[in-house]
Amino acid sequence: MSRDAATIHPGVVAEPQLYGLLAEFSGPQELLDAAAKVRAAGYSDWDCHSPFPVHGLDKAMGVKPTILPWLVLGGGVSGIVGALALAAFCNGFDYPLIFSGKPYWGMPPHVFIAFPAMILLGAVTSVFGFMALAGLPRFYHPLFSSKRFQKVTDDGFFISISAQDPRFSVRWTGEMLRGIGATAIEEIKD
Amino acid sequence: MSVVEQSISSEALEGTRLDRVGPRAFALSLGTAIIAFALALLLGWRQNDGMQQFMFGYYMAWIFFFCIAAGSLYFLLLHHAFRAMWSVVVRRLAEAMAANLVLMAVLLIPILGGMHLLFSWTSASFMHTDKLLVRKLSFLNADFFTIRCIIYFVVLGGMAVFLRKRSNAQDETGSLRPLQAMHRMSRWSLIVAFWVINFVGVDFIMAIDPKWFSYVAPIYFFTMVMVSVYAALPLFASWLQTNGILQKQITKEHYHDLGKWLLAWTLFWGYIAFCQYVLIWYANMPEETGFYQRRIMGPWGVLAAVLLAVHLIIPGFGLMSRHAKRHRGVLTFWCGWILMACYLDVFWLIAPQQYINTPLGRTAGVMPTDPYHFISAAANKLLWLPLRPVAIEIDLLCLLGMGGLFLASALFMLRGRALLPVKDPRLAESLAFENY
Repeated sequence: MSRDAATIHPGVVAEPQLYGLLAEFSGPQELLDAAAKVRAAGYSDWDCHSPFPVHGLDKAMGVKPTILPWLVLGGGVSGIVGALALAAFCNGFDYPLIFSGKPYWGMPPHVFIAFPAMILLGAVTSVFGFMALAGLPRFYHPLFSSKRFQKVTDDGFFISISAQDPRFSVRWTGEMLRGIGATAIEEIKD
Repeated sequence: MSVVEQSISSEALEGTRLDRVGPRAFALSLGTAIIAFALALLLGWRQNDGMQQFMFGYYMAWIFFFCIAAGSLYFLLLHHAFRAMWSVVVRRLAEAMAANLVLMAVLLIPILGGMHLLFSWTSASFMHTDKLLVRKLSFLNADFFTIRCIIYFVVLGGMAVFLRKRSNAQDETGSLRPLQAMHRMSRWSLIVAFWVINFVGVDFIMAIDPKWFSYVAPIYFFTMVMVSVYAALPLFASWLQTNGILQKQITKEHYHDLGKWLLAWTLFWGYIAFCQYVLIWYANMPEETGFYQRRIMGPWGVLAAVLLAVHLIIPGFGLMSRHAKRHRGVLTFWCGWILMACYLDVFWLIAPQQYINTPLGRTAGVMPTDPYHFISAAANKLLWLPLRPVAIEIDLLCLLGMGGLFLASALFMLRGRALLPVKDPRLAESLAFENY
């Protein structure tokens, strides 16, 4: 008798669904060529996986520039505005401080507050913005179920195409991948 | 160091000589310089102020172009000390501008001759009005100033000439020895040149107001030097490319890196300018605040606000994007903008002083109590009027003339040579350089 979760708890654990196809390529150059072809075939929900950064891969895949810089700009600007507003309210209005004949609302000392606040909020936005855009933290990914995929940290070059992609079909996508030089193709279940 | 035999196709070295552009541009810029200086001298003479107005204009233009030349030298020292790869393609252009330090040394002679028109510390009666100033006399006197100037230019000019000669030698022999010599020399020269440039800042910026103390002023000057070169270098390269030279060799990748440096130094300028201001603001000591009082209040305050906007805020945002730095036209625009801001900076530092010690020579020794005595209260209300008494056309003509001489000299330095160090072992890498 099978002992996997779905038979032990029928109806509780979902049937494994198809996540997508994983194709292995023999080297970085093959991966680059294949990426350009997958892109040309019109797929949108797919990714490349390699043990090291392959120069030119972003261009071959047609990865769009990230919006992260704009988020960081927003974070930095709100840091400046927030810090200046706080300092203006505290020292200029709520509790005016007499300090060596300086004006209550003097810009120079408040720059010291605004500047680190800008850096702090900019840095925090860039870290958490990156995590949010990348879908992190994520402790599990369907691709991890593939034994073959473990090679990706060492010498494996892969392309995965999600079943969610509108152009996806097990048969045609598989044939396309084989046609562009995949050495092995695997169906990944989630 | 192992020699990697590299193959650079002859195609990659196309259009790397000035050829016909050189003599024409040389004649044009030299002609412009002569006409501009003749006009400036005429207008200066008509001011009837013993050529003081002309001398201030000349002095400001000299500082502006000294910044570019000294910055080019520092750029080269950084390049060689770190054995940089990406900047090999612009190395020769920087060499030509750094060699202009020799020109700047020659152009310094009128300043040494007209010292009494520029520096109030040359007046003994003025220096004896204050105990603080008397103590500075051992440093601020005409003889020692001249000696210091000679030392500055022997050191900086010597470095520039050495780099140029070694670089020429490498072009001829293709040996690695000159490159190694430049590397060894740059390691210690980085430190020496840094200190020399700082001292130039003390003598030419800080001493313009002899009462002033500021620890930050020398590094502020060093920042001016570095901002200038990273604005001037892409502009020079872009101008050559417009004339069909180095079109294939300097790519947007090189402009991108130059642009990054330009942005970094522009922001650093703001950082240092603020450091200096805030320390003086906090301490609130009369011998320090006087300098700022004369420059941020009243009519000159308008200029200070404009400077903050055009030197920091506007180009800071303008250069922030990667796309701005990678687009030659956009980057060139910002380089021109920042060079203009650099001159405005020099102007803001130097020009007010002319009216603080006016009329020098006649009533030397009297510091006017009202720093804005030269302008009526009514004129303050109009933005353009405060700058009127400066006779700005003389300053601009001097700037144009000095610029003509600078460009002519740079082109003269580049005559008959490849505009790329063709035998540099890292040239092939630099040509193929890409930002990932």
